[in-house]
Amino acid sequence: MSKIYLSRSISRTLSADHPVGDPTGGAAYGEKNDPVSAVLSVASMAGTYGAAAAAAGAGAGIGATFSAMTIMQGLTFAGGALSLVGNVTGNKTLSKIGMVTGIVGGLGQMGAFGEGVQGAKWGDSFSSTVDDSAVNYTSAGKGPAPLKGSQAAGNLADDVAAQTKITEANMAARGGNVSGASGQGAAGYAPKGAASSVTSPPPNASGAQASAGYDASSSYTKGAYNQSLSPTGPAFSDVGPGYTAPAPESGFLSEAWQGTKDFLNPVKNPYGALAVGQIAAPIADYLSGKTDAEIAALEAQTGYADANALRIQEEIAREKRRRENLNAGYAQVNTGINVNPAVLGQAQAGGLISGAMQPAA
Amino acid sequence: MANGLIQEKMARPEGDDIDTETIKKNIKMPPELQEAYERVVIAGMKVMFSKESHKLMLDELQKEGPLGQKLGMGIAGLMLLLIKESNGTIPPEVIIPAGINLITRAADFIRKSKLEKITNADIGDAMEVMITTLLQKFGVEPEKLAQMLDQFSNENIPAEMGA
Repeated sequence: MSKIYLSRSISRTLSADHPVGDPTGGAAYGEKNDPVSAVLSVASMAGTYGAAAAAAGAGAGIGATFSAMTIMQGLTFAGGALSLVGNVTGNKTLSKIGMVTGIVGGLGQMGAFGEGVQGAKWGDSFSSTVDDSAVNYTSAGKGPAPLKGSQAAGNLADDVAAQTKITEANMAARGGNVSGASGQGAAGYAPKGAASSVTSPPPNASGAQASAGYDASSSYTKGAYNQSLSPTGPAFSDVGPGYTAPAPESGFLSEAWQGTKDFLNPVKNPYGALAVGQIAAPIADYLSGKTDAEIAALEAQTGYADANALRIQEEIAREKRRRENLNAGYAQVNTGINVNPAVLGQAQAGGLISGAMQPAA
Repeated sequence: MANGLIQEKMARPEGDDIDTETIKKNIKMPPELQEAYERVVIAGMKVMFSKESHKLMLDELQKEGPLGQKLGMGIAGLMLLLIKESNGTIPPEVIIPAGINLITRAADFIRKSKLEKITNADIGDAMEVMITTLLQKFGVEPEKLAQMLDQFSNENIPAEMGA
């Protein structure tokens, strides 16, 4: 089943005409793989980074909005997973989040959270809420020991081995199957790729950082990400080892714009230019809020077509009944006219009835 | 929704367990955030499974209440803890994806260790609770989120899947 549609309106129409279909995708599922959605998603993604860069560049005053928006940006990256889980479990909230992030490119792009996020501050939010009742790990003073530098300097292999033993012991105490512990417990959850990535020294990192790359308290404080809240500090220029997003004023927006131009360049991307050319009007309609009107018109049109079809069917049925009644009536009426079969079989140019009639004997 | 074709809690039959690998494949991190994302996940695993704090996790899971609620709140608290301990230097974009990843890892652990019977619905509830809790900490109230989702999905998502 093809799930690629030519336009958003076709997707919407198919969704209305075929409300039940493939449960994992397609128009019935609410999926919109048409070029409009693709362009909107790309545009919104670029807008997010642009807004983030602009906010960071403007200073700490906009930093609150920047933080709230960027954490919601994470929903975009996990949108596929949320849609999947929502679909499997029937959790409508996750389905909606997944779909909306897929369409918009991030809940922060909706704009309606602006009021809510104005008061949010990256540092303030967590310093005051970590000991909230919602934070189970730290409630009642039972929080785990902070990840100190000495711990961070430890050997990852030793930690993993210790976790393996602890987990095996815990599982054994609960009667769990601990045979072949490499596939179970903590050891089984250590991602090989991730483990290898943190044991190898990241670029420009010290040895201590390299051996404890998994420790957030040591690895990220070396970066300048926290300077994003500083009025003068760079935001994205140096988040930490391995994170080298360009500074906003150093060309990220220009790169994004260049990418957009390349996408629209008929020489570099003929299909992209063609698609955008075809969907320019639908995008304008969508952004100008005419979508609802279009849907209402479509519904009205469909209702009119249905009513018209019913009217025609009734007319046909009425005509059938009229003819049946007429035929039945004629059969019972003695007109006093006899039909000459020999004449009836011949071509009658003068009329259907007149030539076949002759006076009764 | 009382009479829709697709209703709340009506989905594919339980059987295909949601596991870490499936979720990982559906989390698409940009290359520049991939390393930070993995570091946060590993840091979270360290808190969940290290000798210092593993018992706390087990204690939390054995408290009263729905498993999805406990798991979601626990992982949300874990993410807030990581943010605090990192002095707010964790890229905000990786928080929710990493939390989702950690939920599935915790679910895998619960499933394989047979601590409790965990279902896909529990995992979904946990993700919803975690996202709602985290967004609330940033000033996005759950009502605001629900209102926005309803408004947007009513315009773009068929009624059977929407409100």
